[in-house]
Amino acid sequence: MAHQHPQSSSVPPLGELEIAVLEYVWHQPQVSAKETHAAIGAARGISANTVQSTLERLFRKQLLRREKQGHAFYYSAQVPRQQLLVGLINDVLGRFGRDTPSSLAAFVEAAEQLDENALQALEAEIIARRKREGRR
Amino acid sequence: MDNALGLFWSLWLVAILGWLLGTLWPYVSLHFVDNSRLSPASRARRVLILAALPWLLPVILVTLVNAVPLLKASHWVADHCRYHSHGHLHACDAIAGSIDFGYVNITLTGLIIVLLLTSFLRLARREWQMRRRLLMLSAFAQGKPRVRVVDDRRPFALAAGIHNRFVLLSRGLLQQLSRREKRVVLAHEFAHLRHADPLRNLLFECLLTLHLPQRATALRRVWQQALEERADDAAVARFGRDAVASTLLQVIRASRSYHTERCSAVGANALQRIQRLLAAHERETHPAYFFESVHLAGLLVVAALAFSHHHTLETWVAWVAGI
Repeated sequence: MAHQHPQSSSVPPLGELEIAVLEYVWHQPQVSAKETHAAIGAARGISANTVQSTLERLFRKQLLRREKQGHAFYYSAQVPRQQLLVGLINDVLGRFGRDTPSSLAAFVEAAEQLDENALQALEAEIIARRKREGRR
Repeated sequence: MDNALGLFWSLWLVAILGWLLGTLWPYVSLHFVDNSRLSPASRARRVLILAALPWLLPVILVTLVNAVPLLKASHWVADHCRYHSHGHLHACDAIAGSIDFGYVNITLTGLIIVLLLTSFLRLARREWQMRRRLLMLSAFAQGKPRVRVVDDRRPFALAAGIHNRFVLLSRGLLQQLSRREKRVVLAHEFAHLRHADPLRNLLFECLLTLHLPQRATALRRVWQQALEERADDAAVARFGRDAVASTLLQVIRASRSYHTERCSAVGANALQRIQRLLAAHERETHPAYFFESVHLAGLLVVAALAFSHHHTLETWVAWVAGI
C-alpha cells in the first residue's frame, strides 16, 4: 500500500464525539443520523440533534460524504481511517523531526540521517560484546 | 506621566543590556556543556542555566537599578543623588522625565514587545495544535490509558502529555520488536514520563524564546540529547547497556525501511546515544556543580557590579537615550 502524505492542515481538529461518530461510520457502508444516534448517541445521553449536527460538521470538514434518500441524509466515510491516521501521525512526527518546539519525547531520531557504515560498525560491536560476555 | 515613561524607557534599555549579556553568554559557556564526558543530568542542568540567562540577567539588572531608589525611599541609603553631578540620568528622580520619549522610542519598544509576543504566541499555538493532535491520536488508539497503541506500520514510540501523560506506540514498532525489546522501549518512554520530560521540554522552549534562533537550536540539541540519554540510562538500569543499544539499533533499522520525508521521529542523535551506551561510563571532568557554582558566582558579580556601579549604568542609559 502506498503511503499517503496529507499536508499538516489536511486533518481538521476533531472532538471526542466527532471521533466516536467517525469510528462508527468507518464500520458501516452508510448511516443515517437516526442510526448513529441509536448506536452511539443514546448510550452517551446525547440528543439526536447533537448527533445530526456532528454528522453535518464532519461533512463540512470533508471527512464524510452524504446523499439524500427520501427525506433523510445518509452519510458514508470520505476519508479512510488509515489515511486520516497517517495524516495525524505525519503532523506529529513531522513537527517533531524538525527543529521546532515540541513537548514530546521519543525513542529514535531521524533514521535517514544515520550512516549505514556506522550502524554496521555498532552492530558488530554489540555482537562482539555479547560474545565476550558469553565467554566469561 | 512623562516621568513614568522616561523611567520605563531607561529600565527598558537596562533590560535590553541584560538580554544582550544573557544571549552572548552561552556562546562562551556552551562549549563546557556539550561534552559527552558529562552525565546527562549534569548537561541538562547546565544547558537549563544557559537557557535561563537572557531572562535572569534583565531581571537582575532592572531589579538592582531600582533597588537604589527603593532603598532610598525606605531611608536605608542616603539621598546621594543630591550630592553628585546631574550630568546623567538618575533612575530615582525627576531627571528620568527629561528623556524624550518620542516616536522612535515608542516604535522601538512596540517592535520589541510585538516580537516577544509573536514568539510566545507561535510557541503556544504550536503546542496547542500538537496537544490537540496527540489527543486525537490517543482517541483513535487502543490500549490502556497510559500505553496507547496506534494502528500504523511505521515504527515509532513517544511520550507525551503535560497533565494526562501517556506513551504512544505504533503497531509497526510492536510487530518488529521482541518481547524484551518492547520492554526496553517502554522503560525508556516511562522514564520520560517519570521525569515529566514533556513539561520540561515545554518550559525549556519558553526559555528559548528569548534566544537568537541559531543559539536556540544549539541549546535545544544539547537539551534533547541529555534528556534522551537520561531516559536511556533508566532503561539501562533494568536491562543493561547492550540490550538498550541493540534495541535502539533495531528500531533504527526498522525505521529505515519506512523512509519517508515526514516520518522522521525525534530530536536527538541516536548514533551518539548508541556510541555512548557501548562506551565506558562517562566521567565528570569537573567536580559536581562546578559549572553551576561558576555561573552563580558570575551572576552575583554582575549583580554586585550593577548595584555598586549603578551610576555607570545610568550614565550608559543616558548616553544611549541621548540626554
